[in-house]
Amino acid sequence: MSIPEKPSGLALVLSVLFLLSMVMGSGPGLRLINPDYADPNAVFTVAGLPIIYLWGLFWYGIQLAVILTAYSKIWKKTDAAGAEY
Amino acid sequence: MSETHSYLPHTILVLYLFMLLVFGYLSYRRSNNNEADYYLAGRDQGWWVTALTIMATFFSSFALLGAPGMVYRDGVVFALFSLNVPLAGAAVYILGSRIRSIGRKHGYLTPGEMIAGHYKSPVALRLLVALIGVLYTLPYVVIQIQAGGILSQQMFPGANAFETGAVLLAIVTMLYIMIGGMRSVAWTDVVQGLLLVGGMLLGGIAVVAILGGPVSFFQAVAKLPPKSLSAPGTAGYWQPEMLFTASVFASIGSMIQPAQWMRFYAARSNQVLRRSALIFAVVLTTCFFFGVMLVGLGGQVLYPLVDASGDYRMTETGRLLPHPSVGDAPNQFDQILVVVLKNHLPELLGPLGALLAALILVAIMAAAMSTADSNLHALSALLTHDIYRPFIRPKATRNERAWVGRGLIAIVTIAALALVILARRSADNPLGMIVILGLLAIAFSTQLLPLTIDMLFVGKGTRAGAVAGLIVGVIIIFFLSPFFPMLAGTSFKDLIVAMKKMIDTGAWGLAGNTLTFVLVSAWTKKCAN
Repeated sequence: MSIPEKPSGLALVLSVLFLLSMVMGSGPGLRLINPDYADPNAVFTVAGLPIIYLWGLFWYGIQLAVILTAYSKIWKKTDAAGAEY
Repeated sequence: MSETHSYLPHTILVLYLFMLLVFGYLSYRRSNNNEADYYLAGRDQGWWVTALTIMATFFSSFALLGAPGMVYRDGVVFALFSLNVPLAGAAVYILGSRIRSIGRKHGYLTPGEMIAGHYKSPVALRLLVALIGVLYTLPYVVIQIQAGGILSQQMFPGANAFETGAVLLAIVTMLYIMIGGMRSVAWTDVVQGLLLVGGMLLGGIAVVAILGGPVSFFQAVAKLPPKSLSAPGTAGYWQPEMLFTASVFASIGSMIQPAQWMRFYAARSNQVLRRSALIFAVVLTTCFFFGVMLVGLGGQVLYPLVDASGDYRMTETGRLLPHPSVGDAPNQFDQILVVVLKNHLPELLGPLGALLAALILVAIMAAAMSTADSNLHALSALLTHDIYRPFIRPKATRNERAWVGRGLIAIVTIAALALVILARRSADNPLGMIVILGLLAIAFSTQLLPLTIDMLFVGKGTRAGAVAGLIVGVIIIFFLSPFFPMLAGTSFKDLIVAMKKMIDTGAWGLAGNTLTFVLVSAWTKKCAN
């Protein structure tokens, strides 16, 4: 089984950005904005929306940008042998 | 739903089920009754059928019942689980295109064939991969049949409503797969995928409308208890680390499970998978964020978890309970979407509301059936191709194997149905909430990840490493599953509880699996040199 060629610089950048979006959006990065439910002064909403929901939407935007870039610049239309079906 | 419109769900459901059987029959007429055609639709599926069948297989009752149920229980934190969907979309192209190319080149039909072929392990690895496939698909089929029961119970209340819904879903699904194979599954998935996407979005829009529009909706949401608006959520389950590992492994584990793997083989070209990946990432995440997740939040507003004094309803053992109008057991949070639609939409929109509610309820049925059919079909391929042919009847003809596969679909469906009904009648239903059981099933399929990555991109692993890694991964998951305490009692209870609180079960299995795979591969390579 042949091993694919080395990823390009753009592919590496997009991979790092995507990983970051996962770590920040639904991972430990969430602690940066997560309000403490026991704190009476905690802020739970921004502009009327739950802050956690907005956080998720922001990182979804980043993921979408990464996927659209990969789709148009990196993902090939042809298979490994070069044939376009 | 008012008396005038009470016939609508029945009518739409009957039309929908009849259409599925017609699809099964038409697919049968187009097939040539050999194995590759029955299991992979002749490896010639175009982009929109591929995109919709991958989506419909990925999203099951987990999406339409489980996800809103989990948001209803734990609050907005579970909405972040939606971020697993773009990752799954990327996997459709990154993993899928290579799996397709290699599968087409060698004529592979199942994941076990490719993995066993790569590591030159025709017995041990082939059996292990088939076992993992079974461990994934069986619980997933059980969940879908259970969803059919929940839906029926809410749509048509009465004696044995749960059992009737579960039996109907199981039997119709079984029939159209047996008749039409992959072509039938894929074509019904197209209809079910469209219903699913529409149902997810309509569900969200409906709940926002019921609460008076977006502004009123979010004003009401802002007044929810603080635990509903922060991590780790009401039940304290979704710590960020848990959410992260569950999101990552749910997406990748779901994409390398046998049914998806076979969809990659069945795609006509890499271009088909490239387009499918994009559609998947954009459409499904939108449906999640702006659809079903809002249902759970609206559910908390309409059916609060806290009483007038701000206390949560709990069982005697300290488990959280839903509002009495939603259910009276800890595993009944999953009913929130059905309860909201049934009680509020016809009231709000009259006949149109009744029609929309009926359509969304049929979409839930479609979500369950589309995953059950794909998994039953894949399970039949695994058992006939990876076990029956190599180990039981090597001389069986293709036609014979296709018929054995059909027989196995019937046996597995009936066994899963019996399990659902027996569990339902037991005092403490061991099947639990959809999301929890779904994540356990995914934990098993995630164990194929180290081998898949190595096989497709690295090429450094050995047969011994692969076998040892898989065994360790499966043992760890079994240790952390509800089945281990059933056998071993309270031994290791503290350790199990502590491990399960830290990260997802699949992540523990994957850590042990990967470490073993790398170490044993390195050691066996060194010995060979």
